[in-house]
Amino acid sequence: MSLRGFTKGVVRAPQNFKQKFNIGQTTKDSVYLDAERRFKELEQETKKLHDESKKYFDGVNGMLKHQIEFSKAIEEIYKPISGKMSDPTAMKLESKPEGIQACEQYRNLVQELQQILKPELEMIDARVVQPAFQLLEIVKGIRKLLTKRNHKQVDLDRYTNTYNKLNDKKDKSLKDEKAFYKAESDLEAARQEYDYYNDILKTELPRLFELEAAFIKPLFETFYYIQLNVFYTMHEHMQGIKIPYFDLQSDIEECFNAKRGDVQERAEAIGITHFSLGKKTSRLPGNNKIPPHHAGQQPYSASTSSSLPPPYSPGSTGSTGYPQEKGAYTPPTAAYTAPAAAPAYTAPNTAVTGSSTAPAYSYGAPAAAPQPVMSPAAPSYGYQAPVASPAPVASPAAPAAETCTALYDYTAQAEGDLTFTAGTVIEILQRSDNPNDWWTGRLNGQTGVFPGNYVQL
Amino acid sequence: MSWTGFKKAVNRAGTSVMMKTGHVEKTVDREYEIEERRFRTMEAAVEKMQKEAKGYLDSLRAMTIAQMRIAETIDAFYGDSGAKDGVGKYYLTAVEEIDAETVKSLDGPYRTTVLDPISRFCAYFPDINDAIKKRSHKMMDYDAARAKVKRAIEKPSDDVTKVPRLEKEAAQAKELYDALNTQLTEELPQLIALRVPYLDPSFEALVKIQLRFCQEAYVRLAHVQQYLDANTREAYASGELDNHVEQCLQQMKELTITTIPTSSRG
Repeated sequence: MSLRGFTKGVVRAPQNFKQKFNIGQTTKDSVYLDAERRFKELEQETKKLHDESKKYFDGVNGMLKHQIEFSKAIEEIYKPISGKMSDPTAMKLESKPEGIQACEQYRNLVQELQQILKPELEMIDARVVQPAFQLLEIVKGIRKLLTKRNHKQVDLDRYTNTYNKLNDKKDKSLKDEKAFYKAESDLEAARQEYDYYNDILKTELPRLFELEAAFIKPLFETFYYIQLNVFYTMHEHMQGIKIPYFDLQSDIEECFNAKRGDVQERAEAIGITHFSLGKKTSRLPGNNKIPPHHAGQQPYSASTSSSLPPPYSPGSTGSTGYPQEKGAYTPPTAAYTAPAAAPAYTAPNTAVTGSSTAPAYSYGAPAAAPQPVMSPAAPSYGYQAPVASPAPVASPAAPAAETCTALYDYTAQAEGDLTFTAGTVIEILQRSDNPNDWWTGRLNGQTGVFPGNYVQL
Repeated sequence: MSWTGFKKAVNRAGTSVMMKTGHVEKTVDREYEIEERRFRTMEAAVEKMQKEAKGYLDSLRAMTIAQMRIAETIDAFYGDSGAKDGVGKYYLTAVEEIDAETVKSLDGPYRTTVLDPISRFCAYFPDINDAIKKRSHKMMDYDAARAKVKRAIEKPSDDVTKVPRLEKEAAQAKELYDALNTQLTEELPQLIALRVPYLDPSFEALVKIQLRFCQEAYVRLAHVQQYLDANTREAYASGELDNHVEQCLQQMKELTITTIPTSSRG
């Protein structure tokens, strides 16, 4: 702000203040006020029109760009990923030439579309955005004039008030008389200036509105036709899409589901997709091992004739899953089949061994579990059993008084397990609410873990 | 980080230095490394896909919203200027329908068939990366334990139990490493092989959704045409509309209120 402008601002400040609190006399011109209100609207709308038409332009461009990029990305997916194939069955699925072809066709189509639409979109810029911008500039200029007119009004009011005050004063002194004449001439000058600006605005603003209306109609029509053309071109082009790879007739979601099948389940059956889940659950107390036959859940009443627990059967688990487990266990259903079929378990004596190792393996990430998981799993890796680490004993916290009675015989399968016969009373050191967990107990001075579902509390 | 975790990290940092200086031999598993590289390629591609799919939806939304605002503005102009031939209203209705019906009705399918599956696939990556990290940690532990055994054998100490104990530790470390390494080597290709069936349907869905959008948007918009003057189309094509716009602008510029100097004295 110039010094001059600043001085003016200071001089006008008291009057601005008075105006706000309705002190003294303020000039009001209702015709002008209405014009100003309309002008404000016009100002806002013009700004909006300009900004939004720009956004529209960017939006259409962005859409096309993303289409192209997407097709590039999916082409990456279709392409074989280099590296030695370790699994011959995976080889077949590795690449999808039809897919790549479809990608290329699609991309060409979109690129073509982009080319065709380019002039159209440029037209939005040239015919809509630019005129709107020019209008915005004009409006800005007028806005300045409006401010000026308001300043003049303040001046006018200021002088009017001074003049009135002096005029009302009785017994004017010589000094007052002088000031009175000065105020009179000031008022006259201010009035002239104010009237000039006020009249210009009053006569020309309506003219501006008329022009604006005349302006907006062709502008809108232009925009409409450009837009229509854009959609038409896109529509025609996409309609003419002759890529045999796509089945364009069927319902979107139906076809998607049909095409997709159970692939999500299959992917989620892969252990590593839930790696951290396996890690987290393995840290839960008692989850260190999966009890031998929690999977089967066969009723124990059936095995009362023989005191041996029902043997573990991979077949039944494969189909039933782990119905009783919490969410954490849901994924392994399919993963489960893998270890069950693994040759490592073919040793004849594995009816029971397998029952404790297999679930532990299916667990998703054996390595993620603390060491005890490995000890029962050890034999499957041709690893010498005696070397197995001592299982951690997490005992002291539990109250010592609780005991349980064994329902079945159980022979330790790894170091750190308890061995007992049916009917033995075991002192429980630590247990969870879930009988499918491994609990920690003491028997004959020896501390170890045992499956909770082998005992009765 | 827990205390145990911290101790492990410190130990591993030591091992990695020793590896670089050649004091500890590094295990190399080519088969695994190939799989890991392939996984990285796939990870990058899928993440790009996710980004683009999201970008497409965002652009589409931005476009329809902008279109709607323009329509509102135009309607406001029309209403204000008193030119009530109603075209502005029809246009507004049309674009509102595009936004409310076409876009919203395609939003759901787009999510279920394109965005969600891709995002879900992407969600596997952090887990896999965890596993990969863990594997490299376990490998380092194993390498460190093996190096210890080697040193103990080279420099026999008085403690006879030392070598067997260290061997046992090394065997344990190897087992942990092997289990994870095997799992990754087996399962990474499985997942990589599933990527095409997993993501392929989304592509088709995307194309179809685009097609549907273009079609409906066009139909709805074309509907407005009947309310316009029959000759506006020619006027548009011949550039006459453009001239109108220019004329108006010119006239506005010639107004005293735009030409009057405002910044000079006054």
